[in-house]
Amino acid sequence: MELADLKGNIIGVIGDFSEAISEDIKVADYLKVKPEEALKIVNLDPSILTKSFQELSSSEKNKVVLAHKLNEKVIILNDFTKGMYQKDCRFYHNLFKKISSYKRKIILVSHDINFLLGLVDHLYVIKEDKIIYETTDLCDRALYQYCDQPNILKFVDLARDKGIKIDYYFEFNDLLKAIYRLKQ
Amino acid sequence: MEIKNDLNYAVIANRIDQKLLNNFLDYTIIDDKINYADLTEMIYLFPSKTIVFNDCLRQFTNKEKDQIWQLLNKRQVNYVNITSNMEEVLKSDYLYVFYDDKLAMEGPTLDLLKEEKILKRLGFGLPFTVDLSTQLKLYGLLSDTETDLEMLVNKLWN
Repeated sequence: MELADLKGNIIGVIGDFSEAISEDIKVADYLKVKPEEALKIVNLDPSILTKSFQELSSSEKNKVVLAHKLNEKVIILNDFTKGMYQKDCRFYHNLFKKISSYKRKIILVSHDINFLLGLVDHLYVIKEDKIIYETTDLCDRALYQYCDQPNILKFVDLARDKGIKIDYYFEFNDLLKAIYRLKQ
Repeated sequence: MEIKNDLNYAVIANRIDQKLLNNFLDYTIIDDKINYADLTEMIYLFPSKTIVFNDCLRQFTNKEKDQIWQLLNKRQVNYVNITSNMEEVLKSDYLYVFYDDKLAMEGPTLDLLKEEKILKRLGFGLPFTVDLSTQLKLYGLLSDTETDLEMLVNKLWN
């Protein structure tokens, strides 16, 4: 099965995928097309060009891979949020949406469903090269027999189990406001 | 940085790189190339007192992680969990926070998580339940910080 054939614009894949990049390669040698511009787009300082992959943090490695793939029609990224700290998450959500608007397909292979929430339009669960579940609705409870439910959705399910009428929210502040309204 | 034999640690950092790992060269460091079966077997046979996870637990489900915590406890193996997942921090007794390769904060985990403003200013979040209960406290809707989601819902709608 080819990941590139999956339906959607920004696609989440729960599954395993690996892509080996030599740790010895210099960032400047890896990024051949307009490297400084590509690094700027992914929010990395051009000074990183002189470094080799083994000198980078896990998050920087993923960002360099993204910079390398910016011109590809189908951008496949594996475990992109590894080592990423929370401050960066919103920036990359917006960046992926922007890249997708330029008719690029983005496939995020990840175990981090919290990052995929509010971002992907299709989600696939793949095991041993076969699609075992697919959905366009991340609130779909059946999905969570295959992966962990994000706490922001789990909270709503627990509240609904108590008879509370509350909608699903993907944004923390929206949930907070909804709880406040309900408690008033 | 002191690592005691009777505590479990979490380490969060804005850069998880070799410089950070150099603090743990005396220990066995497990990276994310390991699968669940190999990791549990390794813990079972582990001869040492402390094991270091290099952001490798993120690939496992919560159920698998619970089984790993239980096995570590049963085998009396302590751990240092270097992680980018704030939810995993809650399982530790003591938390180290690194920012740009320097130790920025340290302390018992639950005490440090009360430093919400500093953690957020450094770009780290809080575990979801801690964050939500902290904000609900500010609204006057809760009196305590919670670490358990079900407990939080029960306290809101008893």
